[in-house]
Amino acid sequence: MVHTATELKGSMHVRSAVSTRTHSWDAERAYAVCVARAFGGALLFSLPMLMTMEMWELGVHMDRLRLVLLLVFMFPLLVGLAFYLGFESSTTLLDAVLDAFVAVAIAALLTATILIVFGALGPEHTAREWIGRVSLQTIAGSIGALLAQSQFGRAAYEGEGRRQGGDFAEYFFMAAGALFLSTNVAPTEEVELIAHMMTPWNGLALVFISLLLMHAFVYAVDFKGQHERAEHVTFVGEFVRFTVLGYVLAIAISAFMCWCFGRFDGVAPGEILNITIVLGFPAAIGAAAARLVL
Amino acid sequence: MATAQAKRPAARRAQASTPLIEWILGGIGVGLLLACIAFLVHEGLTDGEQPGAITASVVDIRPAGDQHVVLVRIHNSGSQTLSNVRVSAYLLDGDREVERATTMLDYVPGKSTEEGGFYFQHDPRELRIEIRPEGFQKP
Repeated sequence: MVHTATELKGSMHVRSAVSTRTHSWDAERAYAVCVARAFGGALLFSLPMLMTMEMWELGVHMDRLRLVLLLVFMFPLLVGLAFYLGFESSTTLLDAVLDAFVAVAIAALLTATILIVFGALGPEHTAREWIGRVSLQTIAGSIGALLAQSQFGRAAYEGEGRRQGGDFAEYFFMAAGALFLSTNVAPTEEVELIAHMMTPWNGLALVFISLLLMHAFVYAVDFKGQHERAEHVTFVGEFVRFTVLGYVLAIAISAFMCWCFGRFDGVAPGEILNITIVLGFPAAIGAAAARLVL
Repeated sequence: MATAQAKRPAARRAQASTPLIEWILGGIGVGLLLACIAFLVHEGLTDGEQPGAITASVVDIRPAGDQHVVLVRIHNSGSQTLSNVRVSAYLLDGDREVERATTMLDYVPGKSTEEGGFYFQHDPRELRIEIRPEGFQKP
């Protein structure tokens, strides 16, 4: 598999010559590879949830309108991801919208196929079960499909990179990371169980640990993609601007997820706070990791 | 890295002119998302709280080892999903209860059917079977 430089140069010339003649065919083929990669990404991101029983059940019995809200909330997030991660600086908003729809289609097709293979969906199931289960699974799958489409392709390593989005993009990535990891954990009953076992002191400790880890992940422990603090910004400034705000974002998303899944229904306010903090932990880690990876 | 360089022109063009597959998949995505949302909104608005109503019908009666198994289909005609649904089957000789068997169904979603079975010592084909839902939990 070792290619010499001349060999590569040669093959590049051949490729260019061929592709001028069959321009559109070549573009189709390149895109088909991209789609295959997106299927892989969707699988990687949705597999834990495809194999979680609670997710199948939630897809059927969770409140329909809250599920709609979740889907409606997911879509602009996908568009934003596609926009900021597009590896061409020329990616327009329309391209991003199209990319997001493609990601939804790929995730839906993939999750439906896997659920059929698992026997969790079949001809004996009603439309409610089909649509509920597939739409819920599509959320994580489409995030995976989108990342694989734009982020993990070879083009992403060519130095062209993503557009520089500024602070807003950072918050955006944090929201996507928080949504992804909290979707993974929120359906499990352990969230409520852990919240129930924790004393207020445990809860407080978890808040501090979440904040500390979020900050350490991004600034301190030398992960690839680590952020450097700009010289004119103080530690406290950076901490408040990104880590604290990011945590607030993660907490808000985890509360939204819990409410959508009906975790708050009939629950006392104190317990609601505990549940939110518990789910806020993976959401915070997801948010911090997204800043590194994306 | 060098291989990636070679791929670069192809990847670029894929972005420059939107390929047909992208339009097709995008179209499927729009259709699926809108259809799902429309269906869910319709379901959410029309029949949210119709209480679950369980009816059962016998599908088959078969010998199973030294017992008999009665296979049943349990249908929830309401729109509410029921969990931990307890269903009992009675073998009756006239009005006299000969034998009783109970089963528990994890979930019976609204407008859906689940299958289950009861084991009996007596041959149910010689007696009358009555199936009754006993209770459920809201999920």
